[in-house]
Amino acid sequence: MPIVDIIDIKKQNIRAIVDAVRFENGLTKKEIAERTKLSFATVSNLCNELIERNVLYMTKKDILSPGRTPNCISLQYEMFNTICLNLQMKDVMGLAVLNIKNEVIFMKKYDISELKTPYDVIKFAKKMFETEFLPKADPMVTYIGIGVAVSGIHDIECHRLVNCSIEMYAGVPLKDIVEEIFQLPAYIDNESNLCVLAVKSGKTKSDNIVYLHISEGVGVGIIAQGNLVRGFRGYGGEVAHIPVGDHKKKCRVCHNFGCIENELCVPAIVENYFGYGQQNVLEKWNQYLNDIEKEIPEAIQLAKRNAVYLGNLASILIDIFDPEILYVGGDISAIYHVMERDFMETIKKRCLLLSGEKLRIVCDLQSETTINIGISEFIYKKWDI
Amino acid sequence: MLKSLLRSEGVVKLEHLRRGNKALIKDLNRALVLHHLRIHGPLSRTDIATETKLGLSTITKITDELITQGLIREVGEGDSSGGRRPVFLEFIPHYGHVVGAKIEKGQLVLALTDLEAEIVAKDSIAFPVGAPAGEVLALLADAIATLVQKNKALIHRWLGIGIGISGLVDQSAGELVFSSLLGWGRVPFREILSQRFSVPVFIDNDVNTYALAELSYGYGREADDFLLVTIGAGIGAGLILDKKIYRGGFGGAGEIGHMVIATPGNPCYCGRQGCLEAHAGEQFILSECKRILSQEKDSLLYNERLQLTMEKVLKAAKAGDYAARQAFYNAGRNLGIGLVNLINILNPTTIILAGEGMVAEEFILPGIKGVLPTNFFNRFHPEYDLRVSRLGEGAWEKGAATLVINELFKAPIYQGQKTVLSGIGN
Repeated sequence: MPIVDIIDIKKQNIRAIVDAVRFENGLTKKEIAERTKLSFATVSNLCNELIERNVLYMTKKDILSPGRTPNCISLQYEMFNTICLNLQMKDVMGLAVLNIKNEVIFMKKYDISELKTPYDVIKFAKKMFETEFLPKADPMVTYIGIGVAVSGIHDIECHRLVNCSIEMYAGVPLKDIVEEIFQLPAYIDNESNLCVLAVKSGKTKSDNIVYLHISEGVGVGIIAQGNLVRGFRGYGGEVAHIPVGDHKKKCRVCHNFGCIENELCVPAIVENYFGYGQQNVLEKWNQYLNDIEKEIPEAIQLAKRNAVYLGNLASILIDIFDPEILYVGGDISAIYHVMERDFMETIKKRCLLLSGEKLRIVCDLQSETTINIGISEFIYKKWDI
Repeated sequence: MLKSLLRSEGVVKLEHLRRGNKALIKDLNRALVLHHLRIHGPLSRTDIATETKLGLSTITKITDELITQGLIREVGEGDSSGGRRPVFLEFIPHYGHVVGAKIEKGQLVLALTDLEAEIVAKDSIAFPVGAPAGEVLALLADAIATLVQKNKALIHRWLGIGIGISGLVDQSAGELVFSSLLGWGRVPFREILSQRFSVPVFIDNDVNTYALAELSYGYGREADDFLLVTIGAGIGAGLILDKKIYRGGFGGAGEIGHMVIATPGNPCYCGRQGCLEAHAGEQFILSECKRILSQEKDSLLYNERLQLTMEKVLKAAKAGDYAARQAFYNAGRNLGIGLVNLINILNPTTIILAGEGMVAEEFILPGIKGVLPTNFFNRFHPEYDLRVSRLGEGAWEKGAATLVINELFKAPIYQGQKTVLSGIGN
């Protein structure tokens, strides 16, 4: 990260030290200095300061050494938590608490179909946090922020949700509401962006990643040259209305033809399988999954048809971004095993670049956890240590 | 200001950084002053001090060194605001020269430019379509040598060669990986040309070099993110994200010509169907014109409908011919669908259209503009600026030259870096 101002140097150095120890089981000051390229004196001073502030702690390193046994610096990761709200599916709220090593401490889903306003939803979230999690939690823990995953675009200038597939949240200043109720810094982002942030923070060393998330809607999160592509005002990553679906089908949202969201998202699959106007989409989706398991021909055929649409969409993204890894996640991953062959064949047919052969394609079967890790990572990166 | 100078560096790699010491700070300050003069000059020493927040004595010392080095000069006095009249300084673009070359299908185009990519001499050499890479590379080397030799009286310092080529390029290795347009596989341009010339050699995809030219000298100066779409024999894109070219994980980003825009769609030469090129490229315009002509017996082109060329269609469109204009318009609409997809995914602030196909700008743009607003979601319309490149003739070669120029003026933060400030060419 380029150093731009001398005042920031100390903060940058603190961040570098905390980043270095975050996922390790203790490092000596010498090891930290080597990793961060900071001087030993700087590392020692800052570590001492962070130990005093209870961000880090020191233990003896458990090694056989002829000289002095070195001290080990570790992060007090259990003392700092993040709160994660997943609102990307209609009528469902996910609440999770993670520590800053992105380990899940608490995760639960709630039916919120009776709640009519975003204010009610966030108040309910606070209530569940206080009644179901806090009583069992360590009272000394600091909560460094709360993040919310939404299916839609969070305009980074006006801080409102636009083009949200869940009507209730459209145009709403969700960040303000969450901050008012939780009294914590709040961060809102699209679920696809959060998923790609999560995978970037994990073991992958890639700087060019595409994450296709398909649940309530169809979205894509893109890491290009190590950075999240948001576009101007945060509107980037919208693929729902790319016309690679059935070009005879008119889209109810944008009134054009062939939009891919009319084929690939959960509500669209339910409608295409059971017919128009289904209530209780989640129940019908589970029924569809059962039919897939029973290998009902119509269910399988629909999945294979969607595999081609998914392959066309993925190949557009591959040809534009030339990623090193492509993830497919969301509820669609439950039927990926049926789609995989046709999906991969379509990509091989459509991708112009030879790098299609070097590309890794991964199905994320744990995308709910991925979203929570993405939220937690987002909060961690904004944390003013 | 330091941030903008460093921005083009991308992610800073710690392991190759120079040590933080007085020499680094001095070099960074010199680079900062030079950067301001190149971008905003002429400036007085006081102006530079205000912009860079460096002390006036530091500025004076640095500018004296840069004058001695021959990179800048004094160019006259300004109006007094009470005290001594300010003396203005400007960058000397003729401090050095670079060669920018584009390898097209059947032709090499070269230009000798100064350090502001202003073309001082040009040349072009035809070669047989389908000629092997080795042959063309030898031709290129001879052409470069001839261009430099012919103009040696102009050249104070020859500082590098930049090459733009259609295809997948490994920029760091200086190699072409493959080009479907030219039918070539791996070609180690840098290795081969370095055996003949002792100047640095850089190569990139030609659309990326054009995007660089826009970034440095065109509309891209005003935008952090923009999308360049080139329309010619094929359709390609250069992506600039946060003022840097985005190349992708394997160097192939921006291949939009074969993006699906229609299913099933027209067959494409690549073997697939529904590709953007098959619906908006040259072949589409010609076949679409032919299709319309079957019902337009009054058309200027009716009698030539079996021997249509792009030149004939364009000429007819300029003369007001309906079939010709409609063909361009329909291509524009299909291009618009492709652009909608790109705008939705990337949300760029600016889209710049360029390439030989834009000679038909007045006929294609209405089709594009007709589609763009109607295809956005009805709840909001992302803001964007649609422009046509005004870089003019020689833009491709300027872009290739800019590959070298950008390297020469990079902030000197890495070990072993060769820049004008480190005395390259002296």
